[in-house]
Amino acid sequence: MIKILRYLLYGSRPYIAIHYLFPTAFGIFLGARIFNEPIYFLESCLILLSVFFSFQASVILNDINDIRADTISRKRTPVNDGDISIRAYQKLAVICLITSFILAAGISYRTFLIVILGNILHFSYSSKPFRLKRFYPLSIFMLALGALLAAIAGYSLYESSRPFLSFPLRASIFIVVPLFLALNFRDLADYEGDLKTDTTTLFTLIGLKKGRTVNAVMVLLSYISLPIILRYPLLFAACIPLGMASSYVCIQKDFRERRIFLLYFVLIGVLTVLFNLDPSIITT
Amino acid sequence: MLKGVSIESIIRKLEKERYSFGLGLTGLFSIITVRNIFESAFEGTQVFGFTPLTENSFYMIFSHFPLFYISLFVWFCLFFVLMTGEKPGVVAKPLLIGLSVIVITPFIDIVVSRGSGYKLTYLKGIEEFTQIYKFFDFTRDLLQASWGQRIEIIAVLVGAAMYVWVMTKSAWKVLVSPIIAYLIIFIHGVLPNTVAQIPGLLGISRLNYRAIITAGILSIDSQNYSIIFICSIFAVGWLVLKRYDREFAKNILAFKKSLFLILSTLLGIIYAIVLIRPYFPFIFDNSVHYLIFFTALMTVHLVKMASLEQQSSTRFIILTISALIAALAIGFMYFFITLSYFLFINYVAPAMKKRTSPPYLRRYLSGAICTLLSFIGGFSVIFGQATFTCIIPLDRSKIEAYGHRLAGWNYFVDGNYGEAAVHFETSYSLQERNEILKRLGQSYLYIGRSDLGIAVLNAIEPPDYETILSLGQAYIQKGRHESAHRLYRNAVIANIEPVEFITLLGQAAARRGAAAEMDSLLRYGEKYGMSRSRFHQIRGDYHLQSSNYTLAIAEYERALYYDGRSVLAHAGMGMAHYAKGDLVEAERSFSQALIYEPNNDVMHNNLGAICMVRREYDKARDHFERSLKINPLQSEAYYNLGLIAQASGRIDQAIKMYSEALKINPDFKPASMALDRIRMND
Repeated sequence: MIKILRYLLYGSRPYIAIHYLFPTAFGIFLGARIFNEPIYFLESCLILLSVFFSFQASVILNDINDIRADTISRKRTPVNDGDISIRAYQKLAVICLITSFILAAGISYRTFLIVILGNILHFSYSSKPFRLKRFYPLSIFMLALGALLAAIAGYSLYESSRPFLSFPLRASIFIVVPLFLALNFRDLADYEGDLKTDTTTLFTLIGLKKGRTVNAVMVLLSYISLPIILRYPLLFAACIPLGMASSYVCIQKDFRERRIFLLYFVLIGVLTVLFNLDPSIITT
Repeated sequence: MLKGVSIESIIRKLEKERYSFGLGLTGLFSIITVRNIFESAFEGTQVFGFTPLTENSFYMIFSHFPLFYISLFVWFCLFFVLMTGEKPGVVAKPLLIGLSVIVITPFIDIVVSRGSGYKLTYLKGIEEFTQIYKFFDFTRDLLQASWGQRIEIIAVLVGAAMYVWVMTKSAWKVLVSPIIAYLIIFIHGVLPNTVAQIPGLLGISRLNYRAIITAGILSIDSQNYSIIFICSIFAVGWLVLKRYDREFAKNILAFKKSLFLILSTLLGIIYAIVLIRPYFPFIFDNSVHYLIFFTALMTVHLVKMASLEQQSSTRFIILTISALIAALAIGFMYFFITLSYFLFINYVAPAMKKRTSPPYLRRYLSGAICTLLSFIGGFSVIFGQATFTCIIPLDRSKIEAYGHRLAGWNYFVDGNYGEAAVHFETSYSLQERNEILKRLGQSYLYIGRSDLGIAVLNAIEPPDYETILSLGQAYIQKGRHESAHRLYRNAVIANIEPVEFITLLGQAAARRGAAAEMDSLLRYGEKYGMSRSRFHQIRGDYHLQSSNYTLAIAEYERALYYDGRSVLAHAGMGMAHYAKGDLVEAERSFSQALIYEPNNDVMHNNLGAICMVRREYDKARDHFERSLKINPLQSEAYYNLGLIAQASGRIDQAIKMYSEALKINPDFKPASMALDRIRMND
């Protein structure tokens, strides 16, 4: 039971699960600031939980579809470790999915539709018949879009009539561009499996060695793009060192995903302080 | 092209992909849902989807549109099977990937239309067959054919030809393929309205083809479309299935196995008809009703068959999904009863089997529950949400109320508002419901009893989007602008479709000449995603009322840059030209507006005014009369008819027309002044 609860809460990618909550929180913050409304605590909790469970369902779906590739890459997932049967893991995915739908429907019909879209996006990414993760760079673009959808889901608490059209363009770019540049590192750990399962990634396309360098440059660029997108040069002071540190982590032979995420969480902290001090940076 | 990669190799690779039937089906639903949600979010936002009629939106996103695309999918599947001689399982895989092209349409349209979107419609009737060329006329930007739709259809035609070429290498088949592919799309566009028109062709004309059963809960077209597409899926899907699994296809036709359940559903339908007929006499007038009854009987049969095919997951999925989507096409209540029946027969009854003894008791108990559920299901086909209050007719008034509500709604969608009002009055006197009150108020407004309409709509608590819109329009037509603005402001505060009402408030401020208020509302509206076209059109309205016609025209041009199909911008442009004395340009703008909205009463009125200036009185009268036919609440049109009558020396007629204008809007000064002048001359 405890094990199942652990998978339900963390899945196989705990850091990415947390990562998806940031865009949602960002969307809530943006909506509250733009429409001069207080943070709706209950609805915010519901949408954060809905996005979280929706993402957990997608992680399970991904683990099930990647069993072969993960075995080759010696990646640890609950099914590969034999901790849980595929059938039970599938049931867990269904529970997560239904929970996410119920929570979203509890907020509003339109939020429910956005959460459905997020789930379809993850399904198309991981699972056949589409399994778009096989096609680089579409795969990375879809992950960035997933984050944007999570942000729009949060924003829809405040503007539900036309959330796709009224969501600020700069905020969309602020989410999609840096993530599109940065998210290649996710494929580094899966290199061997991807190679043998015909999944194209940056690393399978140009080779592991070159791929590491290009990935490091792209991660640095993603950090540097933030102050440019926000038109806030002072942010370079935080982004350049964090970007360089992340790039350094990427080119190390002993690559640890966790370190990248820790640096990313520091950036989120900086941005949180910055946006609260001067919301006009992102709302105008 | 990449080395070694050809269309043929891609198709072969797609054919070899291995995944379960359930995953394929989920993929198909995913494509359709993405298309539908983005279409509703981007395109024609005034009609459905994210704004404002969400109950219709649900039905469109989850029933009507999916069935349209699933029907297309099975038709194309059959077409490819017949053309290539391959098995359905082989052609379905590339077809599924090819169908993904439908996802891009809303994105193309939102870019091409610079953010304003299109109100997408496909060809509406078989009579439009000769107008197919319009769809491919790339020099036109019509409501009926968006760029996304054109690209989507051309991609389908080219894709079909390429697939047939790769599979057959036959030149004649390649030439014929796009034509057949287009005909399949065309048939899907025109089938619902064509089927629905059959009673009219047979001389049954008490109601036109728009009559339906549901009591105003679901949009009329949606149910007609859903039912016709599900029947199309049943018929063509069965032919495909015959090629896929002959034995299974044969098994499906074993109606004997569910005869008892089919009969009890039929009994439920007959019982409902007997109860409703005295109040709702149109049951047998509409061809779609017969298809609804057929679908209900098929649904109960499919659920029964699913329970017998549990060993094969593919067969079970096919039968279950077919039954549930068919049940949803009939209505929410029928869906929930079918779902209960499905859960009972598949999960509860087997559990009962293990626990209940003696054996004959469990058999009879389970049979009785199934029969009862199918009987209630049959009854709910007609009674919908009133099923459980009417199935035991202890209180006839509830049946009467529901029957009159159905009759009222059918008259309402038929445009016979007088009869609709009579039935809604009776229904409301028996059962007080906001939904009935709303339709009653709207019926009063449409037949010109505006004071009563306003009073009725005002009684609705809390008012919904439709009520606020109707009430606001009625206030404005009566000249009670302050009441309309208060209503709109309350809607914004209550977060009821804020952008719609901010836009209306901004427009009102512009027309009052309140520049600061307008600017503030426009800024506020921008936050809510107000379209750029509306933004500039409202600014144009402001300049128009300030008599700054050059600036007004410039703003309207900007509005038209963002949305070339904006009726309001064309109308404003026409007004500005009219005020400048350029009648040719004014007429052109008003006529342009009428292309996009043929039933726009104001445009007919404006064109009538131009004809009057040119002393073309017959043409002018024609326009004013058409205008009043569309909207009888127009004081301006009555006033103009009065002017024409006066110019022709028919003073009595003129007095009558001016009085009509004042009856609608007692504060309409031109009419009262004209009457005063006539009286003074007397």
